Amino acid sequence: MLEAEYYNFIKAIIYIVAAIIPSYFLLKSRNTSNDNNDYNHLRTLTILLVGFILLQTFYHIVGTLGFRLLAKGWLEPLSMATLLLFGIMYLITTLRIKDKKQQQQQQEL
Amino acid sequence: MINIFESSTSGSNSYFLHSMNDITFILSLISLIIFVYLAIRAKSFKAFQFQISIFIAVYILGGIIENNRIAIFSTLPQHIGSQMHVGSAIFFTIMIWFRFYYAGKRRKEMVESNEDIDNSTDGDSNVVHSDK
Repeated sequence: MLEAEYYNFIKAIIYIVAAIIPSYFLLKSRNTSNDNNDYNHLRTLTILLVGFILLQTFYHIVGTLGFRLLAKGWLEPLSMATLLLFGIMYLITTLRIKDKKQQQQQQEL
Repeated sequence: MINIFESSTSGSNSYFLHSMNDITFILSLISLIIFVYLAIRAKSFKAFQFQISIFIAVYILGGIIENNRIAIFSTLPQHIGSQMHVGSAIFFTIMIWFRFYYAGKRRKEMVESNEDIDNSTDGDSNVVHSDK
């Protein structure tokens, strides 16, 4: 195994370990039906985070197998696009929560 | 036409890879900007936003070194970029596991300090309350 492929293999294992926790929470929340908007946002964020980690895992596995073009050309940009989407969703959720708090404060006054 | 399963990266494939590397760099840079902005708003080093910003920053730096984008970094050992990627992955994993561990601990403390739930003698009911 070449040194670059060896590093890809290590990274794939590390990302699999990272994926366990958010995947567990996602599976746990699957059976819970909740109409709360905040809860749905949290679930979407978790799905995006799991998507990013799994895409990174897949990218490193494909890299280990030697398909450099598929790994570096498609899977890495795709995983980064998922991370960007996660960031945008996080930003939207944070701004919404801030707006909600401001509205509540105005109602209290 | 580009065969995505091809392992050689010469000619048109090399050009394609360079273009995709640039796209990856831009995407990760925008992500970093968003999370740094959120971290500044959160005003805490313990915040998830700050920690993920560090992960992305190390990832980008590793990518720059790996692809030999800047001449200064070409003097560094060959696989230092990959090693930085491994480092960022380890940091990310530790961060997620620590957050899980401390979230569980905080939830337990919250349940134990709640007088209403303390009235309940059934241990399992506390778990149900904490999950809500």
